[in-house]
Amino acid sequence: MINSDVNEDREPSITTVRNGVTHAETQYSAWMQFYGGPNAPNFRIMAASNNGGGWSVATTLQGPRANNGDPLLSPNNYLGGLNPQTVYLSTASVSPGPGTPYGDNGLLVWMNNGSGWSYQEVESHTGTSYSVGNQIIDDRFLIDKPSIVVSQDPNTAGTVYATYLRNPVNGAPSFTQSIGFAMLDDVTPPAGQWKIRANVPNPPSGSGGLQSPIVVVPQISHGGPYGRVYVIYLDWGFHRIYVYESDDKGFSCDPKGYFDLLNDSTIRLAVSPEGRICVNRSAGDCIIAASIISARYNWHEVSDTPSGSIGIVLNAWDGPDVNTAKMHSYFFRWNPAPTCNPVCSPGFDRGPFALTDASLDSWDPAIDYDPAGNYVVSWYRRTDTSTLQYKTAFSYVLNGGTLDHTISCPTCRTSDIRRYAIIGSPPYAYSIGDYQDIWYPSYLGFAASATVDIATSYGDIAAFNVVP
Amino acid sequence: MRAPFRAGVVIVVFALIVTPTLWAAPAHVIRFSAIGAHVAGCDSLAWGDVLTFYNSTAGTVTVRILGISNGPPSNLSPDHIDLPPGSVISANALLGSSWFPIGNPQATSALWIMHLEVPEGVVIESRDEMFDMYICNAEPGFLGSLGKVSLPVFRDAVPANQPQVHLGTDLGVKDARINVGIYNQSQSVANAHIEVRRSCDNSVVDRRDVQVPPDTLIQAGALRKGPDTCLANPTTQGWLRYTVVTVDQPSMTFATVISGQLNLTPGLAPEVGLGAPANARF
Repeated sequence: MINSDVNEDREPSITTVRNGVTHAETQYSAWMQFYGGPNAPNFRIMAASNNGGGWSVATTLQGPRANNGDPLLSPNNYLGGLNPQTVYLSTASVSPGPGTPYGDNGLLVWMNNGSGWSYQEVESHTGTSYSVGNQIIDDRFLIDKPSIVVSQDPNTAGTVYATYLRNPVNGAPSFTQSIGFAMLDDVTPPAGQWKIRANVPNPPSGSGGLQSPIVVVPQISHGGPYGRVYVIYLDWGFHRIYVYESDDKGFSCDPKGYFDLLNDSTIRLAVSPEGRICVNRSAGDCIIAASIISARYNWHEVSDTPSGSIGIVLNAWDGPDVNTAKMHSYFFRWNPAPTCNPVCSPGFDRGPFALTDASLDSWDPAIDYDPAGNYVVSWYRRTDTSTLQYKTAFSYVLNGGTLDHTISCPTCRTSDIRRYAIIGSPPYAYSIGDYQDIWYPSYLGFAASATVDIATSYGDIAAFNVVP
Repeated sequence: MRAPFRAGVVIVVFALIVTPTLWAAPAHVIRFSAIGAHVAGCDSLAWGDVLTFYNSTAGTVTVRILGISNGPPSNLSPDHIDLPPGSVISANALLGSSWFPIGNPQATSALWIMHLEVPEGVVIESRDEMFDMYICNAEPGFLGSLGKVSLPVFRDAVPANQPQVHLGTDLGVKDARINVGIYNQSQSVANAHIEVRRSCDNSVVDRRDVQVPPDTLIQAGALRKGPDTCLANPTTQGWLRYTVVTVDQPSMTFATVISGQLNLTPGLAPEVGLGAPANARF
């Protein structure tokens, strides 16, 4: 168990910083905590570490604003260069405005090299609309799941990338969403500080709702002085998974294609506000389960992916009718350079493959890969169709997307999501967050997950080590 | 023979001391939760009822939940709501997702009747409320209420085949649609006939026949208001409407009226886009 207290904890992330010389590994986990009791309006980031002797007492990462949420982690394992042996944590921070939960807000990136946490603010907004002359300025807010990754591309080793969603304040149709891209390195001026780069382009065909920008990097060089970095995001309205690539550290991004679920599958993205799993489909008694991406760049060369590949998982409806469809977790693979003969172009070359059987809803899948280049995947899965009980489940997926076997988790327990306060007015759904996480530590032979475990009390963040 | 008699006296006295709901009466309230229109951008509408109680007595009293329509409840606990004196209590906050009907095929909406036993001295408001949901996040944000109208609270069902008249199913000259809720209290399928009538000449402007499953509340939606042109010798203004519902089983009915049409002169008067008749019946 990473943390156990009376508060409602959600959206845990987990990773490991590894010293390649001493082989010492430090696990880090961070999560979002609603504190002050059930229905508490305030939330903050909690973080803990484990050097092998057990998880430390959690530290509060408060920052300059009232609320902080949606942490994601990425490690820098290098022993030299920019911020060596450091874990980074991206989070959205926000203070309520007058009459609204969305006010002054920003993107914070915390870091810890083993001697404590500190943060830099990458971007900030007022969270208001205001007039300048005849023009209305919609100063956005950044609220959902900013993604972060440390480059292990040889040409950009140690560079940190973050992608994040800018949402309109008042929802006016004329104010569109945008995806920000930020970069931290010690080369580009101002060295050692975060730089806002070009936006990741919106879909050229128009957007029906951007969501879940995830940034990943290869660990083998694809050539070029600045390596490559990829951004994957969803278009909820058009039911597409987009891939963009930058070969200049985010100065620009080029489209690399998309998966058109609407026309090429029966799968449909689970879109807010209907992205919920309900007890026998009854409104209100539901679990929030909108489609959100988890993705990792799997650098291992296997026969059909000499340049590695990106493993992508998300939960989505298994049919077009939201009233009858079930929620499942699906695997996709994006291949940057498929070995086709005579010609192939980069693109989605595997999936969608359902990771779960058709009987029970599942959601919030997370993915990582092992030293053999195969995937370990975890997700939440209902235990039946008549309650809102769930367990964390694990599977081993071959690089090509074939489900190889279910990974047993003897210590995983049945949780009841009704232990948490229902949110919304009218009652909308229960939430344990939009993601959980899994990380495969080097050489240790197991996958470590961080999930919400509420089998016996509020707000346990559990660590399950499973052996594929 | 004497011992049971004494025990009975003790039980009655004990009950008088500890049971504050001795003079309780039945009440039936409309409950619902539904995701509404998404016009554009990041905002979506959600509809929901908000049920509040006020205890006007000097001591704590208890409202008991007897059951719901439209299927078995999601959770039976809590089965009562304690009301301290002089305070307003929200059933929504206390019940959470308990007493939702399960087995409803619609994932996005639910509509049902909740049966209560309400003690003397309690004031009830049942609100039809509109909420602004911010949906550009994976977890929607709830930005607050956009307004409400009060709904009827039923004491008992109307006998079979007795017409139920709802005066005032209009919003003035605005074009509007009329939704009619029908709760079939019986254990047989009910046949219901709905007529929307222009008040000035009693002409029928829309009608519909629907079937209602046993112990079920349904809503017949989007009946038309029709034109405001009256025949000769009008008895009222042309925009007035009333709706008559006749059900062949014991039932409870209500009507709401909705319009998205704005006032011709912006800012002249409050925008009223939702109404629910509150007729007094003698």
